[in-house]
Amino acid sequence: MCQKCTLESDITGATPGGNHAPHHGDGIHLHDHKHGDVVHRHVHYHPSAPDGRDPGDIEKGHQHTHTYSFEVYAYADSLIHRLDARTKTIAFIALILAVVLTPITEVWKFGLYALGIASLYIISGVPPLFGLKRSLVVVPFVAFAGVLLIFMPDKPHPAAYNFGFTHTTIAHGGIYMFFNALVKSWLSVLTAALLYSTTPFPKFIKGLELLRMPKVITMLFSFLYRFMWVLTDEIKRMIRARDARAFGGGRVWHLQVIGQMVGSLFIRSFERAERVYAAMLARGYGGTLNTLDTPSVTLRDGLFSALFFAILLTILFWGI
Amino acid sequence: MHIPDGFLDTKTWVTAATASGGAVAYAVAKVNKGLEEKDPPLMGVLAAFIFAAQMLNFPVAGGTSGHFIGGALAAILLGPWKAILVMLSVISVQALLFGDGGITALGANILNLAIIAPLSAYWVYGALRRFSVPAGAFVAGLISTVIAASAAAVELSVSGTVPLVLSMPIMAGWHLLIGIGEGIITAVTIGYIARVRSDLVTNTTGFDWRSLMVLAGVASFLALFLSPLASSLPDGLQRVAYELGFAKRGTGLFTALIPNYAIPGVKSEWLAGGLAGLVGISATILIGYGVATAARRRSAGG
Repeated sequence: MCQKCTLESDITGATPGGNHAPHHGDGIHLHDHKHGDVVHRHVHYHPSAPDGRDPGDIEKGHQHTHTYSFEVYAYADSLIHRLDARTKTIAFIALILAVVLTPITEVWKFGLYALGIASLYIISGVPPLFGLKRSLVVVPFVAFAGVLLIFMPDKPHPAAYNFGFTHTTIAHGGIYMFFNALVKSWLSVLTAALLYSTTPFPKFIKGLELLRMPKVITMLFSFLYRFMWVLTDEIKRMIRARDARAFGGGRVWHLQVIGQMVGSLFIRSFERAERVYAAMLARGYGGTLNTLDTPSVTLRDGLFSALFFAILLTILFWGI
Repeated sequence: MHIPDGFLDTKTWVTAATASGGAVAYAVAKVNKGLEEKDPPLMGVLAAFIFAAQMLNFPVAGGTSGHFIGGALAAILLGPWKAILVMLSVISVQALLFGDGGITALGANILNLAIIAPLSAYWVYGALRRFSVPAGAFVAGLISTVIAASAAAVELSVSGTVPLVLSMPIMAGWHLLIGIGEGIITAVTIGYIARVRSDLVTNTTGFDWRSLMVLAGVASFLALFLSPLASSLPDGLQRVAYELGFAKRGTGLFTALIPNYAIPGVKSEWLAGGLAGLVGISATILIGYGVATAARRRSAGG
């Protein structure tokens, strides 16, 4: 279903290669379609999208978002999207730091942080529901901590609670510990989702490079980002082939099959890397990656940072 | 197991980030020194390979599953320094693009999965492969998984989030099962590559003992800074507990687990705790070194 317009029938069932977005205007547009039971999400970037990508190139959109639509909103346009990657990186990491450093007893501060994060979502146009869905990654960890809470051997100040018909004794300290982990991890992951939903990853990497991250690491990030879905597609094809052929058998045998798949994927990846390198050499690669993109910090970034940090530091240091 | 934000307290994540920052800086310097033009694309594509290979799930126990991690495989195929950078980029991208693991906890996650895991795997593999390459790869996969999980358990307990007596058996025990799977997959993968492209597994002939030194350095740093802080400085929640009128919870988990956690004759509690940690770590490393040397001698003699 297209998420920008209401012309559902125009979008669903569209065949790859077809041009089906004449009515969308500029910017970003998403739609999902199905291959069997696998949902592919396509993102189309239209001519005047901030990133200036090719219009309507389904294959490209496909490569960039795949089934895991983790950065579908990165190419949209808003006040936050238009900020320099460095501004956003520093600001959002500072927000996460503030959340982590605030003592859990100052509950109202977490209310304010949540309010601030919510308003950033609203300004950026990233649906809060998307952030909430992405933030579910912390659930297993929180559950782990929560279950252990019951077993915490914390004698000094136990508190008895009745859960249904069970009578459980847990420590007050443990409860604070649990809420500490729950609230902080949740707000942090919401903020992290905001960062990757408003900043295309290549721009983020460029920002890191300008912030003096070692070049070998930023180059690794770039290649990893470029090829991770390519190789994920590869391994998914191998998984499908395995599932079609390899069934029955014991656990060790299955692990052996996985080992052979990993070996095969490694050789394919290595040989792909050799071809990539040859292609790069043919295009004038000489050891460093050069980009045309030269981001600059503008007045907008200065004003945003001033306001952002004024609010953040006020909340953080209030009452200390 | 990527630790999210909020599960580690300030002293722990700052110490872990400093330790992994130092180790990563060393790895960057080592890689840059011998960096060939073709290396960045190769390492980058292989980082994507590790990312993709982590999609492979295998059943562990009771209907749950674990996934292939790849730290040991990267260390065996690429050597310790490149493996650190490859694993580092996988873990960073998972944190930055998927929210898988926290931003403040990134240093700790890198420490566990991108430094401790590949370095220990490389060390184990280097010591054992003279007897048998598959056995060396299996033990490397197993040990690196268990050690990384144990490190995470220690970080969580030093932070006061989960007591060590609970987190250690759960994390280490669970990852022992995952580690067996990891070990078998690593061994089969190395065997497969040796059959199909044997030129790709011969590039780690010389064993780099500096990997052990870095591992020892990181461990000593953690022991010196983290263990005394664990018992002396009240963390955020203990402070909260004080403020709310609770008694301090225990006197630090280390003291509970290791009684008489001090060195006679040393007055300063901070120094004594640090030294005790250092002595423990050194002893472990010396034993490991002894085993590895004995193994080398035997294979050289036979």
